[in-house]
Amino acid sequence: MLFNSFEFLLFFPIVTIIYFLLPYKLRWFHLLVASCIFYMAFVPVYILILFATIVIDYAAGILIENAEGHKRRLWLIMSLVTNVGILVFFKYANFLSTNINALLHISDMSARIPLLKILLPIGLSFHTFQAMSYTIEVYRGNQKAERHFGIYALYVMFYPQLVAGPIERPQNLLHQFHTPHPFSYDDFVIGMRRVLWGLFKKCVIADRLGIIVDNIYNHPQQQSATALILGTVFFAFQIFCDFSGYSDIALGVARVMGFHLMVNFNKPYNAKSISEFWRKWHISLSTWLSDYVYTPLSVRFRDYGMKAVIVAAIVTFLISGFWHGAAWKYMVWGLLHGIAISYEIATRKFRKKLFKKIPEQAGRLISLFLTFSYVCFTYIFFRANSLRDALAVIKKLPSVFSEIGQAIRHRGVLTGQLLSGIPTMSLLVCIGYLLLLELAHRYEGRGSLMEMVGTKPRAVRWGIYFGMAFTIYLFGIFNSRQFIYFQF
Amino acid sequence: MRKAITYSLLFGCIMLLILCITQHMVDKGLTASKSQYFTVWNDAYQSRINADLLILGGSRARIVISPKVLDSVLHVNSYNLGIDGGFIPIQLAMLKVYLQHNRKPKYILQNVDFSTFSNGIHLSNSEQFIPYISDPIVREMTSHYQEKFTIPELYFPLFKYNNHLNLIKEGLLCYFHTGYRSSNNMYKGFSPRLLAFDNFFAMRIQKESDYLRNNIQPEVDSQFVDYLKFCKSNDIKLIFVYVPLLHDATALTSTDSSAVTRKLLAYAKEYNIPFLSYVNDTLRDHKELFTDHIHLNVTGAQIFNEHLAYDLRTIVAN
Repeated sequence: MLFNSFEFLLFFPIVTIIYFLLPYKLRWFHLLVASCIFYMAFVPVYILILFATIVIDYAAGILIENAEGHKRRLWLIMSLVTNVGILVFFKYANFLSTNINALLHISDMSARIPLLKILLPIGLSFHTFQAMSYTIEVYRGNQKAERHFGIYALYVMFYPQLVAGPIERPQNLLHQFHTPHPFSYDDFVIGMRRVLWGLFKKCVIADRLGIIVDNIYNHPQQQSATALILGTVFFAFQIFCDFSGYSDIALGVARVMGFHLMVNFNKPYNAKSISEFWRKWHISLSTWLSDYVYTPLSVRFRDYGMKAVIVAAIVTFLISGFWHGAAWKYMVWGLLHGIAISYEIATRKFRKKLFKKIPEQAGRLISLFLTFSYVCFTYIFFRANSLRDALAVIKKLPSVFSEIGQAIRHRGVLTGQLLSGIPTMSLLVCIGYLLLLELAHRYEGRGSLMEMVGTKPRAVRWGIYFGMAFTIYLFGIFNSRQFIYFQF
Repeated sequence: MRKAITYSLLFGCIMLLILCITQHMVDKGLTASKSQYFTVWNDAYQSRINADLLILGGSRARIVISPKVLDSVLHVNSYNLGIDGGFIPIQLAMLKVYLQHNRKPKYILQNVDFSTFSNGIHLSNSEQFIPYISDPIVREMTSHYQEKFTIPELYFPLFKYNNHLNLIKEGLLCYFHTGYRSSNNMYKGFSPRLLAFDNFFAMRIQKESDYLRNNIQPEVDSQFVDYLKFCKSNDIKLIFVYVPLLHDATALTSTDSSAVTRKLLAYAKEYNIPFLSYVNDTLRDHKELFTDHIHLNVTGAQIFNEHLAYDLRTIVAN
C-alpha cells in the first residue's frame, strides 16, 4: 500500500481511530495487524520472510542477553548471518550469478548458474538493517532484549516506517511501544501538517520532475548535454522530494499516534561538504553505517592512523552503494562518495587554511556549489539505467559549453534543440515548484517550517492547508508511481 | 480527540463542498464551450443536431467532409460527427449519444478506410470525454482503452480534472462569462485544417508500433456488423465513403488495406450500401492538397466535397 494511494487515505484514519478507541493493552496487537495488512498489500507471501527474521532475531536477542562469554558473540553472528543471508539471497543472488556467469563466459567455460525468478521483497534492506541494529545493541548492552514477541514484531513491522525507513534504533522506538500514548491534539496537528507537506513533495514535485527525468534518462544517447545536466539536477530534487516526502509522511503518521520517529533529512543540499551532506541526507542510514561499520573499523585499525580512517570510509560507502541496489552503478556511486569523504578527511587542514583567505560568504557559496555539483555528478550513476548509460552521459557532458554558446547565438535556449522533447510549460512548472521548495527551505532556516505555520493566525494556517490540499488533489500525480526507495 | 475529529470533518466538508461546487461550475461551463473538443459532444447531448444526413467517422471525416457543401448541394440538414482518433467503437458511442438526444437521421455517411476494423489501445485526446464520463455510454466505451478512467476519476468530485488545468480554466471562464467562447473555426462539426504538409502520420506510424495494430479485429468487425444491422432495421440509409489518401499512405500502415476493402465491399453488397471510394481519385497524387498523408487540407477538402456532393445527389434523391 502506497502512502500516496487512495487505499491509504482510508487505511490511515480507520487504523488511527481504532488505535485510540482500543484500551492501551490491545493497541500493540492492533498496530501489528494493521502493519501486516499494510505490508501484505504489496506481495502477501513475503510476510513469511519477515516473520522468519522476526522469530530468529527475537530469539537471538534473548539468547544473547542470557549467554555469557563467546556464546554471546556466537548468537550475534548467527543472527547477523541469517539476516545478511536473506538479504543476499533475495537482493544479490541474481547479481552475483550474472557476474559469475560473465566470468565463466570469459574463461570459455560452459557451466552457468541459473538465475532465480524471485521478486525483491519490498523494503527488505530497511527492515533487515533495523532488525540487525536490535541484536547488535543487545549484544553491546545498550538495549535490553525484548521479551514480548508481539512488541518486538511491531518494532520491525511498524507500518509507517516498515518499507522505507527511517531505520530506527531499538533505544528510540522499542520503549515507545511500552508507553501509553493518550491522544494529543498537538501531536495530531503536527503529524497531519507533516503528512500534508510530505504528500505535496511526493505527488506534486517529485513525480512531476520524475516525468521529465524519465524522459531524459530513458534515452540518454538522444539527449543534448544541457538536457542531461537538467535531468540530473531535476533528479537530485526528485529523489530528495520523493524520499524526504516519504519520511515526512512516515513521521507524520507515527506522530498522530504519538510516536516519535527519527528525522531522516535536514536540508541536505545546503551542505557545504560531502561529509556534511551525509549528516543531513538519509540520516538513519548514515548513522547506522557510521555506528556499525565506519566507527568499529576505524577504531579497530586506529594504529594505522589516517589510512585506517580512509579505508573505513571507502568500505562504508561501498556497503552503502551495495545496500542501495545490486548493480555496479550503485557501487560506483558509493565509491565516489567514499573517495570524496576520504579527500575531505585527508585535506581538512589544508582546506581550512585555504578558506580563511576567501571572504566567508564567497567561501560558503563555493562550498555549496561544489558539494551540490559533486552530489549531482554521483547521481548520474544512481539514476542511469546502467553503468554503460552513466558513462555515456558523462562522455557527453563536456559539450554543454558549445551547445549553450550555439543556442545563445541562435536564441533558442529553452525551446530549441537543447531541450527538445521537453514541453516548455512542464519545464517552467517544475522550475516554479523548485523555487517554491527553496523558498520553503529558506523560511525553514529560521526555525521548523511546520512550527512556523503553527504560529500563524488560524485563517492563514487554514489557507495554507487548503492551498496545499487542493494543489495535491488537482495537480498531484496519482499514477501509482512508487517511492524510489521502495526498490531498496 | 473530539476536537481533532471535528476539525478534520470540517476541513473535509469544506474541501468537499468547494470541490463539488467547482466541478458543477466546470462541467456546466464546458457544456457551453464551443471549443474544438466539446462542440460536437455538446451539440449531440443538447439535442441541437437533429440532422437528416449524419457524417460519421474519425479525423478523416471530421477534417475532410463539409456539411456546408453537402447542405447547399443536396438541400439537407447535415452534421459532421467525426471524432479525432476515433476508431469504430468510439464513433459508435458518439452515434449512441446522438440517437439518445436527437432525431434519427435518414442517412449516415460512414467514412471507411484502412483503419475501419482496427482499434488502438490508446484513447486519442482523452480530455474530450472528461465532462461526459458520468454517461454510461462514454464510460463503457473508454473502459476498453489504456487511458480508461479510474474509480477516483469517476466518483471523486473534480478529480477527473486532475492535471487538466486548461479544462478547469475553460469551464470556469465559460461559466462566469456567458460571452466567453473558445476560438473555433468549426462548422457543424466540420473542422478543416489549414496547415501545410507535415510528416505527422508517417512519424506516428514509425514511433508507435501499436498505433494500428491489426488489420481486422474480430470484436470491431462484430460491432461494425451490429451497426449495419441496426441501421438496416431502423431504416437509416448507410453510405460508405472512402476519402482520398495520399498515394503512399496505405503503404505506411501495416494494415492489409486490400483485405479491409474486400470486407467493406462484401458488407456493402450484403447490406445494399452504396460505396463511394475515392481512394484512387486523382487528388491522391497532389501532395499540395494534403496536410499529412491521410488528411486533405482545406483546399483539398473543398475540391473533394464538390465531387462527393455531386456523387451523393443521385443516392440522396432516391
